[in-house]
Amino acid sequence: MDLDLMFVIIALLLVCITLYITIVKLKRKHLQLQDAQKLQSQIYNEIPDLLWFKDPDGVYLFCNQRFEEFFGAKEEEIVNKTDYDFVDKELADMFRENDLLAVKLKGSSVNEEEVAFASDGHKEILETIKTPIYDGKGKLLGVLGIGRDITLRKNSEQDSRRSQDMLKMVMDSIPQFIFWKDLDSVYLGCNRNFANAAGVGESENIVGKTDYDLPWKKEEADFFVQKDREVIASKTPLYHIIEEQQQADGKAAWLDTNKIPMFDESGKVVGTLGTFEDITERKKSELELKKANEELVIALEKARKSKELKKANEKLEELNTKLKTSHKETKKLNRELIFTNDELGDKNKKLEELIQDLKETQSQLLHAEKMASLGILTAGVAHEINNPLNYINGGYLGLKKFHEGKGGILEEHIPVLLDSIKQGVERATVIVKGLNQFSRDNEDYDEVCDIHSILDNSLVMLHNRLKHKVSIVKNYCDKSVEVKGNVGKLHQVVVNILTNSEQAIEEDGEVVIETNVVNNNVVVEITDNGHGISHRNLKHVTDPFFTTKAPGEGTGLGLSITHSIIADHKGKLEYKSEINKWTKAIITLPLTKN
Amino acid sequence: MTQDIKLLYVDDEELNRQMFKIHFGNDFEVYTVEDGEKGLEALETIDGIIVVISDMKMPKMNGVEFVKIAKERFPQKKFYILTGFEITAEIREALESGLIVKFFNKPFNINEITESIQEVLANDL
Repeated sequence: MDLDLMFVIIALLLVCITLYITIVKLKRKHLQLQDAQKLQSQIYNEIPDLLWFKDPDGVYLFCNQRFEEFFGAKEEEIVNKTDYDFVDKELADMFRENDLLAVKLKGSSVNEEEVAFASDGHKEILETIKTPIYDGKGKLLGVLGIGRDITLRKNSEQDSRRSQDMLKMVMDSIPQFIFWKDLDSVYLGCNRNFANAAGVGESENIVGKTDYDLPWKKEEADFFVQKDREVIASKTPLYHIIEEQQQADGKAAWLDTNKIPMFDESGKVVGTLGTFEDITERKKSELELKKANEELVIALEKARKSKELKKANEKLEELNTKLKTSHKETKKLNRELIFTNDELGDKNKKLEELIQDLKETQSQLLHAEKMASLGILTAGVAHEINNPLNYINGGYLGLKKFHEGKGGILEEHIPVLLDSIKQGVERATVIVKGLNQFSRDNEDYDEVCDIHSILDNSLVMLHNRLKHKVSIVKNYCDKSVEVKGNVGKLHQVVVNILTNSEQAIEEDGEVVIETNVVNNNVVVEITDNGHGISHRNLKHVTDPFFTTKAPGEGTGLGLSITHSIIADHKGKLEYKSEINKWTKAIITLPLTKN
Repeated sequence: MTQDIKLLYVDDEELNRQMFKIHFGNDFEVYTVEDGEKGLEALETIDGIIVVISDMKMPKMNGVEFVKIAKERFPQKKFYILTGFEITAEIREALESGLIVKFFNKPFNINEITESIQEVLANDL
């Protein structure tokens, strides 16, 4: 193969290829053109809008499928016809008018009209845009018309308007005040209440104003703007801002305001929404309430105090009543006291009488006791005297017999007889003397009392009782012992004690009488070995009426009287005893000072 | 004759015994002792004592006590009490029980005593 051939082949190939490509391109272009035409046609018929073109005389040159539906005819039928061929005159006139208007304006004219579609009779609201079309040279080719079904839009506009109206109505109806501002606190809108408060008349008039343009005070406006700024900056709402605001009518009002930031879709703050309630009344009420509360508190305080006072008053009244009662009682008591006093006076008198009686009784008792002791004595004394009497009698009888020469009395008997008489007289005299001593009934305490002689006398008086039963042992001290006092009473003392001793002895006993001088006192101890006194009774022996004898056998006063007599002599009486063994009476008496 | 009647007189007082002897010694054969014990002794030793007169107030045993014992021993003898006391229950009892024939008060009545003794002895016969 030659190189040239190769070049030719290659050149031919290239040409073929180029041709091929060109043909393809041409074909493609043709197809493209076809497609473009198809597409164009498709577009015209697919678009939902009505599309038509009329020449300057209003003759249809073109329309789309949608338009066909409107007129209810095919494009072939519409082209070269006018509106008057399809719609009533009135409507056709309007069409024509609009076309001419567009031509006149040399620009688009827009209008809306409600039309009925001939195809199925349904109605639509069309927005028609008529645009005059010029060729390159400026010659009017015709008017292009585009009709869009804006029924929905219109409805939605209506709905929108209705909801806007609703919104406005709501905003204007509610008692709240509503406004909104932009980022610079310029008003964008408000409701009627706010408009009235701001004194701008209609709500629309608020737009573009600031707080400084409105009737509130400057300080108030500053406050509002400051709050706006806060909300915008913080992007958080402020609720329940309580603020004062001077209204358009000049009156000051109290507001409870909420300031809320408004956001766009991207979350950026675009302004503030404000709502407030006029709480002037409420504030007034609050203040009034507060005032009323304070007044109430004061009143309550007063009431409480008054209640306290009332209580105190009641208490006072109570006390008063009590006082009255107690006063009455006191008076009554007083009367009773007086009465009692009188009674006491009477009782006193009676007491005195009683005391008198008692004194007398005491005297009588003492007397009786003395008599009782005397009784003991008289029995003894009677017997005592009998003996001396016996002697005297015997002596006398003897002498008488001798004198008469009878009875065998001899001369040698005479001395005995005479002696008998003598002894009898002597004995009787002693007894009588002794008795006299005993029964001395005076109250002198300044007599000289010889203790030894008193002891002896008493022994004589009790001789008969003591004889054969009691042997007497006398242990007198050497000195003579004298006591200043009452002789008779001291006799009574000794007789009492000795009688007790004798009575304590059953059959055979001994009584020891001892006297001693101790410290200027005479101590007389009379000890018997009789049946003694029990420990229990020992302390009672000198009690009045205390006796261990059978009833009727003794007054029980003996030792009690003895005790008081010794006491009267400034002396002391003591008793010691051992039961069944012995009893000792110790009498201590102060000696007379020489 | 009464001179034969032996009589015992019991009294603790010497003078009383002397006086009794003087006054009754003429009519009776009088023996005297000073207490009950001696009295019993005498009754034992001296035979024929018919009448016993005793004083009450004596040591160791009184008149009635002495008589009680003596009467028991010598129921046939006649006993009397002579006393300065008033009649006591003891004496009354002795009287009622026949222990003693009679009791006499001091100062004694010689005739009363003599008559009583004669009477009692006469009754006995």
